[in-house]
Amino acid sequence: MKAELVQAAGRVFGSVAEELAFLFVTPAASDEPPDEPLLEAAAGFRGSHAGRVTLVAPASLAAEVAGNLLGLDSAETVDETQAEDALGELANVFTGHLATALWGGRALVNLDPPVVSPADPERWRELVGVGARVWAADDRPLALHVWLLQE
Amino acid sequence: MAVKTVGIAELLVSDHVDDTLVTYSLGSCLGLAVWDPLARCGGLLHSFLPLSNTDPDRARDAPATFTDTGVVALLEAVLGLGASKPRLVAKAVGCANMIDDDRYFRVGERNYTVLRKVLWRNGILIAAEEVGGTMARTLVLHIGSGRAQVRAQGQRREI
Amino acid sequence: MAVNVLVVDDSSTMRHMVMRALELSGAPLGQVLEAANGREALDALAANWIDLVLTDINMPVMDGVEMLRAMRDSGLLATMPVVVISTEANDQRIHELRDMGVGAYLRKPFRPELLRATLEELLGYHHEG
Repeated sequence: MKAELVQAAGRVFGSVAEELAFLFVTPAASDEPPDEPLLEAAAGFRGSHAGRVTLVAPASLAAEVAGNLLGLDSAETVDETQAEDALGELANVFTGHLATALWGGRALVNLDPPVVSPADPERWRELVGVGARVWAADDRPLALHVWLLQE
Repeated sequence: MAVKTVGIAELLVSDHVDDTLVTYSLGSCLGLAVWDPLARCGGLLHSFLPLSNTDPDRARDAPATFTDTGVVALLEAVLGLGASKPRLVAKAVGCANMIDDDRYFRVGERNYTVLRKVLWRNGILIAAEEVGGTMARTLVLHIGSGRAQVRAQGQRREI
Repeated sequence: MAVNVLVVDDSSTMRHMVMRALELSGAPLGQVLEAANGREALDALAANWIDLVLTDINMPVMDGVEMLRAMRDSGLLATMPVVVISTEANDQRIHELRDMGVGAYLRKPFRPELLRATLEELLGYHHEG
């Protein structure tokens, strides 16, 4: 990913994650995937600009996102469906705000429904290999990749 | 009328209608006032840092040091006086970006985010606020009426 | 008078978040129904007495704009307030929504306090505190 895009994506993701899910996002210390089950949320967009956002995060972080969105106590648990849905929604809201940050209010962008699926460490490394940046959300790593269709 | 001061990393609750609670020098710190109009009781918190996981021992000994444990402790204390969460009127002040703060840590903004997280978890909305900016503020809560005032840069206003 | 509400969003987490914010808004709530897209929403509107719709825009099967157009064409949109809660940020689209008669637009992520203030204005009640 180009440097300006990485910067914009990091800034917007940090802002959205904090505002939506009360997570504090900082640069991660390492690019390596965590040793726990992972989920991938992919959100495409079309219109005046097109591209795709891919977010890979530990399932435990997705569960925390769901819990925070729903206002649950730390003792209350969410099921897999809720965790996947919440991660997809985080990717979705991020994509909308990234489009605004990059192209302003004139951008006419249609967001595809996010698709969430299990991921493995190889997938994480693959995304990092093509420019995904690794961030830490409340000290848990996640990999964020943005691909834009060149016009 | 009794004026009681709440210091940094402290909280105080009261059900005496003549009490006025005040806390000073709210820079990046969070000042939170809660009041129950039916039970006529309330409290004030002055928390310093956002998250207690940085120092669990200190959080245990002085929960008001941190916003996450401080807000919970304030709520528990005011519920102990007979308040009820659905009735609580919550007002937030402070959480500023002070000029000499390290911008990387964004303490003021994070205090505000943690406040929102804990209140959402407890089903309480913020009724009024004066947060952000770069100035230090004073927060006053009158227990009898629930009126809250903010003082900053020589000005005073109700929130 | 109790207000029956329809919450429309393809994300179940978002629907539940909106429903929680709705409960905290102080609005005099009756039934609260859910729909995952515009098609399900129109079916719910046909089968139930609804007084308020809170809806997303980007949804599969039928999006919010198409749903609102159908509500406008049937005359339903003129009979109830609609609040759009969406990531939509295109100026023209937001303008179109307002022209159609949408009562308010909240951008995600939205503050529950803003939903409360919006509903107080649209429904004409006041929550103490």
